[in-house]
Amino acid sequence: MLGGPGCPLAPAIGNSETITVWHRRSQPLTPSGSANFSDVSAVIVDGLRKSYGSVEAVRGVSFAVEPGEVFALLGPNGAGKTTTLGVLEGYRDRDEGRVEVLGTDPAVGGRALRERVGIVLQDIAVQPYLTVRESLRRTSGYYPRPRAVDEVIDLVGLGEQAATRVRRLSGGQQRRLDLALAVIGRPDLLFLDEPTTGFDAAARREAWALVRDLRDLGTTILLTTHYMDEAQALADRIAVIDHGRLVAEGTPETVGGRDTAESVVRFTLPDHDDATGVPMPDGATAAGGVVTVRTTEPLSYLYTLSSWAMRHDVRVEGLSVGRPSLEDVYLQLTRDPL
Amino acid sequence: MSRRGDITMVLREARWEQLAFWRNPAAAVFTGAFPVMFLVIFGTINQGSRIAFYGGIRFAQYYVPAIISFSMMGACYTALAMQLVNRRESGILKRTRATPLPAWAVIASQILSSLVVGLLVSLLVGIIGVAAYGVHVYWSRLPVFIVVMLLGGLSLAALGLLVGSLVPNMDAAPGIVNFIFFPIVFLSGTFYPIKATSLVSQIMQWLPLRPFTLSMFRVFDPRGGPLIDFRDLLVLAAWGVGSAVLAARVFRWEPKH
Repeated sequence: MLGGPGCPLAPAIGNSETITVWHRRSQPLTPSGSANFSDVSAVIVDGLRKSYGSVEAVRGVSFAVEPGEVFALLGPNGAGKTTTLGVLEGYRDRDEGRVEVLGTDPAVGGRALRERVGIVLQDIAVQPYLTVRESLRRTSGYYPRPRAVDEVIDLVGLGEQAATRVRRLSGGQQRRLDLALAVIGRPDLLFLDEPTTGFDAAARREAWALVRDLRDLGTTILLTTHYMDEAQALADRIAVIDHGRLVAEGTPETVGGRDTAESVVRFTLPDHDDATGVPMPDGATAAGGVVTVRTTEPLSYLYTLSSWAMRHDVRVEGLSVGRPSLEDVYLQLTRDPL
Repeated sequence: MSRRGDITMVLREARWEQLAFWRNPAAAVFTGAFPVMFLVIFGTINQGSRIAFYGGIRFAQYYVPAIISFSMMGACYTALAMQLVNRRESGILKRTRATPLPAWAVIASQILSSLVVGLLVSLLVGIIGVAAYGVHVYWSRLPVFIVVMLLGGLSLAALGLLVGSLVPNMDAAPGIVNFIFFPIVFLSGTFYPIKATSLVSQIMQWLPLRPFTLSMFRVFDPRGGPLIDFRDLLVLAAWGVGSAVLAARVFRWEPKH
């Protein structure tokens, strides 16, 4: 699972002071979701198409988001992410395809659906002349079973700014308020459109921690991003979208065949001038003393290599075994126009 | 939700609108201080003068109701149109659309809030008129005053929503909104009385502000003529209904792309 020891980004998360504060909240947060939709997908998109004039923004996209998971739509700018999200949010009508959000067509979902869905749009849009607490109190009044205002202020770490007028908040603080407004109604499902675009590194880590908190509270989250590390750090499942089509789907570990792709073994032989005698399968290269081996069987190659090195008393240094990073896969998938 | 719940929701929303409105210095100054400023300037310049073609009544007895109609136009037309453009272009309107607050409640609460602003400014104008310029108030005509205020305010608000919806972007908003606003204010006799027989009056009586100004004046007219001119009220109502129908067709939640 993400955030566990298997995730290389996890250890960095706890370092920020702000996040420590968020996790030291006095009361346990109340979970999302009264609705039980365990056997129903939170979001179903089937053969979605949407054109703007002659431009086909979305060309037959299908995917499903299961309850309780964080699902990332990953793709470059202009890939069709925001258009897809716009249809799911009820802002855009669709040309073709079936779309269901919490079992309802978002085009006709109306008030009942909006009570269960939280939305954070790309652009910050908050009423400038109310304070943080007033904004949240106002919005909480729109929902039948809202979260407590102070609980949400705590969740997004705006405790010190609770009495500050929104126009005096920094951009990052306004973003957090935007998110707070999206979750005050205790949504079952949360849409986040490029939630960290324009953030510095620390602010991104804070936002990520927040998304994980919300996931832990049972909120299903569909987010779009063009950052591979963001998808990897947050998502349970990733769909890569490019030129209006889904080009890959899977977990961060498996998407784009990452799990079955060749591993790369690299090492140097400091006492050897050349690679003579070194076990070199097909496709291996030796340049400047660095040997690079591509193999689908890294374990068996390492066994061959280590027994050869032991037998001949050869020092092997800088040994690394790597899998293609999500970035490698992503760039591969989105390199060529379809 | 029940009807009582709906009403509560609009009232609550209008209360938040009030809070936000009066904290916005630009809105508060333009909408609140402008009418008072005009009242004091023109009232002082014309202190003691009388209007011959209205049977020699005192200037302030005409001018205070005229400035009340000006106040209503500032609050219900100008401020509402500007606010609509501002919220749409900044994405606040789209953001609101994502919440369960129904569309009609968004509109109704903003109209209600603009009526409250107009009423508060009108009260201030009336109080200054009575205290500083000795304007006589006919309390028995209060029901007519309320009807005229409501009809005028609602019609101007509908016009404000229509114009605000037609404005393409934020940069164009002050120009378009005021381009319509100022000539109509001047030509409707709001700053200075205009003879009913004049060509200007013959034209402007078919636009909303002149009928509104004259209807308001009748409530303050010491000569005791008919309190209501039905043609004026009908013209005002027609503008309101027409604007509302058109506004509903061209209203947008998001900026144009």
